[in-house]
Amino acid sequence: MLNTKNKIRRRLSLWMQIIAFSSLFLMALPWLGYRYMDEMKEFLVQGQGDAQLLSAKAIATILHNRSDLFNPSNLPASSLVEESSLYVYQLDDKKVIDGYGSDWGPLLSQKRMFGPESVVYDRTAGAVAPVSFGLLLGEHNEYLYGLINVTDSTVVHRHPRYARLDRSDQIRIELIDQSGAIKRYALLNESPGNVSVYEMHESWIRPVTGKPVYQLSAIWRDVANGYDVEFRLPIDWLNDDRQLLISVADVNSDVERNVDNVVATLADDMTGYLNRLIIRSPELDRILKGLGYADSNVCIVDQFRRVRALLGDNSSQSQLCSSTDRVASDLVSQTLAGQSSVYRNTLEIGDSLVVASHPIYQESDIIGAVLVEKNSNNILAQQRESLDKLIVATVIVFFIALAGLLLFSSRLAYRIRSLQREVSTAVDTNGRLIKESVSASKYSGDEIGELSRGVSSLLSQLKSYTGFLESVPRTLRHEILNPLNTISMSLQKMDADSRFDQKTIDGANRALRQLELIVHSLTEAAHIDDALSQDEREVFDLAELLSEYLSNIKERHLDNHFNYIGMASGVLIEGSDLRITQLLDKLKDNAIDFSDRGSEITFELSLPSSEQLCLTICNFGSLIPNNILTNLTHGILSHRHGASGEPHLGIGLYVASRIATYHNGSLEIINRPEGDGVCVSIFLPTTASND
Amino acid sequence: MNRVIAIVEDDASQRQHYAEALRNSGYEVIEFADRKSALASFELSMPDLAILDIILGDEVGGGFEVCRYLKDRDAQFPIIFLTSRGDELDKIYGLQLGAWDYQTKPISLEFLITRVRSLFQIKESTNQSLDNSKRLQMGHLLVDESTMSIQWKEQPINLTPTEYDILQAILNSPDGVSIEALIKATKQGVVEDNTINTHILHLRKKFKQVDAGFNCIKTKYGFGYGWIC
Repeated sequence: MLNTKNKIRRRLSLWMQIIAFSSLFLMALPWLGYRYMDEMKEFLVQGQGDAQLLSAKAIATILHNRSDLFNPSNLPASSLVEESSLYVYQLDDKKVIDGYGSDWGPLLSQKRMFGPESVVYDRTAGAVAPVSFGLLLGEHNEYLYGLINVTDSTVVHRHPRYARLDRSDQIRIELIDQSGAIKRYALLNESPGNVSVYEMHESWIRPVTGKPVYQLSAIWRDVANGYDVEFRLPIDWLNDDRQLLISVADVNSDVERNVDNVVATLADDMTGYLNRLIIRSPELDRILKGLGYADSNVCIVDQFRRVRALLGDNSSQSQLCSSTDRVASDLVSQTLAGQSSVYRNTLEIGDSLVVASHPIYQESDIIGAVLVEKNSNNILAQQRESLDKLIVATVIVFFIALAGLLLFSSRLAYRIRSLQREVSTAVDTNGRLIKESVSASKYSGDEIGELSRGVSSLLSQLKSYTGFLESVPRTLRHEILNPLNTISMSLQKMDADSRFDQKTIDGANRALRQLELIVHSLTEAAHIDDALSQDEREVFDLAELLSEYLSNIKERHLDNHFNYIGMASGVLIEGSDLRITQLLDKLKDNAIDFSDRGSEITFELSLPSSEQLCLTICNFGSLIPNNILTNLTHGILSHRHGASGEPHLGIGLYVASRIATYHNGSLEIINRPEGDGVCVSIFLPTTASND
Repeated sequence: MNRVIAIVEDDASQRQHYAEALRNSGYEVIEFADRKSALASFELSMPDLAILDIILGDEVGGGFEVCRYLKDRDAQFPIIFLTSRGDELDKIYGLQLGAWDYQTKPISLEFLITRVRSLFQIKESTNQSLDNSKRLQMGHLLVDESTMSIQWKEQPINLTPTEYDILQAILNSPDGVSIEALIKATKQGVVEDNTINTHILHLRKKFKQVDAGFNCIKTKYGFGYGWIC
């Protein structure tokens, strides 16, 4: 038994196993959900890209064959003209005309430089280095803004004594007005600050009128290596072609005051032309607005990669269509080469920017491209929201499943345990079957129910078998006693008859008596439980009983020394005094049988606790092998050789054990630690005095 | 006229032994092997005494059935049970049906005849006047040896011959009598200590029925019993 217990592997209970296993699978649920959502996000982003491409295509279709929108002028759309065009940036806000360029912000880097390559006049024939300047043009709210940084070592302001206006450094602006006439304006002043603007004749010597032009406001500021001029003019001064030329006239000597050179925004060989201004097309903007493609940026570039229209949140996320004059991107190159595509750029924060592009055709030529740009953060936000919901749902499902599993496994474990309890109580401590069936789970149709029914049928089979075994002694006694009776009576007849030898008859009688003893011993053990259950219980003094018992047996068994250790009275127990005497007789007989002749037999009564007494009967003699010590009270057969020569069936200990059990006590047999005898201890509960 | 004794015993050889011994003692014996034939005969004429085995063939309680029939016919009808089982003893007492006796197998034929005589003697004595010479008064106890009957505090107590013998043995030894002596006194074969204890229990019960405070039969643990009153 112990060996089996040691061999049983230490494992978790069934309940824990179920929980652990199912938890593993439950844990996989959120992961699967996350995977699913990731796929879904991918799918949605793809879908968004497709939708954007469709939008781009739709916009491109609208703009098909509408080259007029890109190029409203009558000028030939030659590349030369386009190359010389001045790009006017869309300004977010109105600029303060103060000569400082700081409020132009990042656009400052887009400044276009003009220098020696576009000298249109040079009085000194190269003797004096021409000026150079940077130009930045912007548009806001129907005004054209300009910032000009002139690099000039000697700044010569206008002298009031000179009537001619070409006697100082100046900015010249030429434009074609709505009526198609060329207007010329000179921007100059006597000292830094407000600039005087005069409309000039073609010679740039005299103004058309003496009055300054106030609609064109400008501020002049001298700086370390030249001067800066910031100006503003109404955009409706320009005709639909929006042609404008800016040039810087440089006077180096404030004595001679001759214009040494003029650097313009258009090179020498284009004399007679003006630059075209490339302003974001209001027409295109209008069309795009009509399309109402919100929450995304729509950007239209022309074939020179210049942004011609932009709709939507012009934020920093709009990487491609920020306010640059030329969009340099592979995507745009591809599109302008006739390839529509969807491009995805993963941003730092985890979402991605999706750009779809489609070319715009004029007949078979490509005149531009539509870029539809949208951030996927909507999808990402949705994904996060779904993730939150998924987590909540998973947690709920997890707990419901866990609760369900807990309930289920507890019930399962409870059913198994109650079955186990019933099965273990089906047999008493002596291995006697006391139950014929188990009731736990007996009506359920599952495996436990089957197990329960299986156990029940096993028990009932065992019961009938043990019933048979228990009836054997009775049957045996009955069957043996009848022939014994016949023999006995025959012997009695023979005894009366003088013809038979008396010795032979005596021998037969002795054998007969031994047989009777055997049969009686057998039946006594078989009937002890039935007999015990009919006994009446009463409270009596065990110490008194023992004292009297010992003094009586001392007289009857003179061969052995009996010794009683313990109190003379005052140990009350509840039960049957006759049964206790029977128990003492059995243990006494046993002790006598197995003790060395003439040795001492000790009866010791002690009280290990206030509720329990211990009666130990020890004899000196042969030992009991350890392996059968615990089985002695179960069996019927003796494992020792008795000294008395009487048949010894080991029933005495069995009967004694049953009587001890009947008194709610127990019986224990041990070999004396000294190795010279055997002790039988009986533990019985004591009872309080009734007095 | 000879007394008629009916023997109901399924084992033929045992039955023959009883019958032979009783016939030798001058009784007329009728033998039956089963309940049916016995009852059929009793319907015609009642015997004077019956010796019954409890197990009759397949009928485990066949003897009790016959006893019940006889008891219905005559409440004072003397019966001797032949038992082989200790637990049957209690059943016999359980019936509480008058002064019947029992013999445990193996049977002493000599004692069986003595018992039969005793029972007839008891039966006759109920009609006879009391013989004072055989009456013994011990405190509240009155013992009539001629009728094998006793009285406690002037109330008769119905004892079986076995119980009467045990009580006699206890009364005869002022220092108490050992279990072994009691076994001898019952003149039976092998009797377990516990069988004597059972008899004592029944004796005490019978006394307590007429006197709840009866406490004269004392147990001498490890020895036997004594009459201390």
